[in-house]
Amino acid sequence: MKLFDILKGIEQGISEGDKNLGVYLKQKEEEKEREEKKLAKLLAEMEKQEEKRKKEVARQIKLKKEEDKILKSQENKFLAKMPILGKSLEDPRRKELRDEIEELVRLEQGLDAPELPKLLSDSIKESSRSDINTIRPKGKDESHLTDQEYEQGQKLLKWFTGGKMSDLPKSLVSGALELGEGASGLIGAEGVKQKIRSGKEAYEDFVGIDDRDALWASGGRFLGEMPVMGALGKVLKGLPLVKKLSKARSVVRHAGSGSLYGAIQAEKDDGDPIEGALLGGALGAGTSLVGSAATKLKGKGLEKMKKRASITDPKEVLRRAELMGEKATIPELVGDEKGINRLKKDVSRKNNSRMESVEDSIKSNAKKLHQALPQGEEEIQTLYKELQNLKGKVGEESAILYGNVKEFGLGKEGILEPDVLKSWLSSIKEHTSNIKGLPKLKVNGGSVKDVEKLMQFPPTDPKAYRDFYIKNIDQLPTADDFLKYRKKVKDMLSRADSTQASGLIELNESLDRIVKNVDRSGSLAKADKHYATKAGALNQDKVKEAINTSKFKESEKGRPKVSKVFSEQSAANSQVFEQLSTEDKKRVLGGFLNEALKEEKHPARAVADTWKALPDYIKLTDDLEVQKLLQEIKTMAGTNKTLSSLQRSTTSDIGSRPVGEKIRKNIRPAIYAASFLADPTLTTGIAAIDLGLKGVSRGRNVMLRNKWSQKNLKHYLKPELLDEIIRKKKLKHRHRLPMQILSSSNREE
Amino acid sequence: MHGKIKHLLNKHEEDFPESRELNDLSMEDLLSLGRIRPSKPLAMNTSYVLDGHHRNRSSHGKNYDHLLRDEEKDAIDEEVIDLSELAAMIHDPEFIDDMTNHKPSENQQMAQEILHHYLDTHGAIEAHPHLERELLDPLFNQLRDRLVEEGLIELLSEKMTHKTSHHPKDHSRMLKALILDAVYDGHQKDNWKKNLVNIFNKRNGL
Repeated sequence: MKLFDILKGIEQGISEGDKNLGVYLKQKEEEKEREEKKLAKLLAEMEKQEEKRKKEVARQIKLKKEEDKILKSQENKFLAKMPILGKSLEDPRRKELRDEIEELVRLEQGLDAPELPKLLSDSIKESSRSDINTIRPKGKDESHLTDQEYEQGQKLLKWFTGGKMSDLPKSLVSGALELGEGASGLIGAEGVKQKIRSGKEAYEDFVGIDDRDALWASGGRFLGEMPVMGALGKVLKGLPLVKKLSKARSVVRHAGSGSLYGAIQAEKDDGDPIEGALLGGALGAGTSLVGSAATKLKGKGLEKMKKRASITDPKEVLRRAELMGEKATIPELVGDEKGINRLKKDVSRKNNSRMESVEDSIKSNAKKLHQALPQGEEEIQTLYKELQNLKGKVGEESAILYGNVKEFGLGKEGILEPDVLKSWLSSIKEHTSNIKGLPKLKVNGGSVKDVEKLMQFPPTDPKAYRDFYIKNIDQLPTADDFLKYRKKVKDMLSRADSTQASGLIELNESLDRIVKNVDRSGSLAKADKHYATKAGALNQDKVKEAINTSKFKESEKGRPKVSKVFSEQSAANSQVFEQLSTEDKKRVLGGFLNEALKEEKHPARAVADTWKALPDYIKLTDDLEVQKLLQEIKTMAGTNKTLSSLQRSTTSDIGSRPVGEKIRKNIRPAIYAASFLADPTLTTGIAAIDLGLKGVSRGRNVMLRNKWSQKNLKHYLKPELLDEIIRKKKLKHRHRLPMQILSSSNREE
Repeated sequence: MHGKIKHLLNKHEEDFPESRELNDLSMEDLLSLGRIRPSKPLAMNTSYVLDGHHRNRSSHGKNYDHLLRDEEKDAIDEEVIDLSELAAMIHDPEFIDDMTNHKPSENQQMAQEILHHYLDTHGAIEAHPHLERELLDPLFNQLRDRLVEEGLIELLSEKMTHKTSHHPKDHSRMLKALILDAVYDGHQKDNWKKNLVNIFNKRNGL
């Protein structure tokens, strides 16, 4: 039966399996249905959503179209929701303000703004149609404004309009209050402050200010712009014209001026942001300037800044010059304390143009100086010729004067009186026993003994004496010979040793006495003075050589150098120079310059070398014209330092001067600092030239060096002695001395 | 200083009333010189010696420093005072010991301490060689260095050669020579040997 059971079981199993299968299938079908239902639901939902989306899209498109229509029709989104302001601008007295707003509109929309009255009238109509209550809250009436709110509103409106509207009716004020808040009513002064604070943060986020400490991000400026940006922002944000918004945002972010208009203007004109920042700083935050008001107030701001430019410390000026670059030559900007500390060094700026202009001005000044001094071979030849003429002229004068001495004193026609001759001979015999190398009485004449013999018994009759003298003229000395002898004795005396000096002095005095006895009119003194001051100097060997050689060799190779003749500092040279005419003196300076130009090509450096080569007697001349030229040369001499600092960085040497690393660094700030220090009113290369005189003087250098480098007595004492004394003091006073130089032994203690 | 001079003149006038006019003239003369600086007599003396003598008094009396600026004049005055102080200390040790000036310099204070140190330890006579080595030589070295390096006296001498045929170096050498003259004078008189005894006695109440 087991088989039967099994078979039954199998039947049962199959039936059960069939059952299960059926169930399974059922379940599956049910699941399927469920899923289908779900899917259907989902699909239905999706369809619904799609429909919704489509509807929304269609709605948005519709809105957009409508808004575009409105914008196009109005063309003034800015004034669209401000009917009060728009109405107030109809007043012809406020034409400027209207113009300014038109400008704003133009910039904002990039359109040429139509005539404002039409716009305003349209805007008024539109506003009358639109829901005014979105702007002005319900229940808020003009009469509810308190005095405080009125004042606040006035202030806001003033900022907005650039201070043009002073007395406004309350209706306008309330509108301004609404503007300031961004279309919601104000609650009072406190409320205003709170709104402003929160609004400020929102404003900054809106504009995207990164540097919250920037000058132009101060609260005052915000206050000035908030009325504008509040309303504008609200309008712009609501509209899909995001491009305009981004433009406005970038303009406001990048410009540093104190107003929206300034910012726009800065971008429009590709203006300098730093200048804008300074302008904003000068004008003070808190002004919303539009259009012409900006230019008017700019002048006032600069006047304020001018008062602040009073810096004398060169280090401070140098620091500011590093920050400001070329602008450091404008004293109004250098003195601005607020702006200076916020400026950052612009590494990209290059001031080669400035350096070049300074160098050019120095060169041009040097060339002008070159033209003032007569140069060239011809001029030098004329100088020597004039020198020769002068020598001749002065020589004639001297001959006349000494001729007078001879005529009215020593002897007419050159014949010496017997007394004079005898006293001369006796003085020689008396005083010259120890002296060697005395000159002869006459060049090719007799000795003292021979003359003595002849003059033993001279004829008493003047005529007979004259004939006697003429007969023995080869041996007997004349008045000329006497004066020559006297001159030679004086020359010997100037070079004499101590052994011979006393004899020569006595001889000299006796010779002078001889002449004084005979010369009652004092003509010898005059002649001597003339010779000492004028003629003697022109009889120098150098001058003679100059004249003689230039006579025969009229060329550059032949003639002697001007510096060879005039460079030595001596009394004789100064006498020669003073006797020259003004033109000839200038030729002398030109000669020095000529020689300097052969070695140094740069015109200013050549002038500097000329100054160095000039002797002191030329530098101290009394001639006014020449002094003026010398002063100019002297100032030019100071430019050498400036020129060295102007050398750009090069790898090769400039002429004979190697380029140092120190010169390459910090060139530009030094120039700007120098120009500011030299004269704050000058902004050209002249200021750099004056640096030699005013900016850094030799005395100041010496004083500074002395201050920092001079040693006290303790630097010369031995350290052991110093320690001992300090130790003694310590024991005496029992307190630490302020200045100690401790040796190793002292330190160990 | 003008006040003190006036006071002295007034005192003199009490005893000699006939000198009133002369005193007034001398005050005018003094005031006409302007602010008297310590470097002025030095400069005037130099210019007298080189150029002026008694004949060109007017050209070398008043404005010898008219080309200098005020800060340079002040610096020159300081330098002259420093140099003259050094020269005075080398000239006579009694100057080192003299502290009647209410603002003695650091140099003088240091020198006094060294002087007292050696006098106390060695006595008046035996201290002399030590002081010569330890104090006098350093003082002289300091003066020498100050005179040799380019100082402000060179600056003054350049401005003094306005109307002269002398080179500026002549004036600077003369200025320095006047300072060294004091040193030489003290060396000749042998002040350091003689006056140490006085200082020692003063210190010990003898």
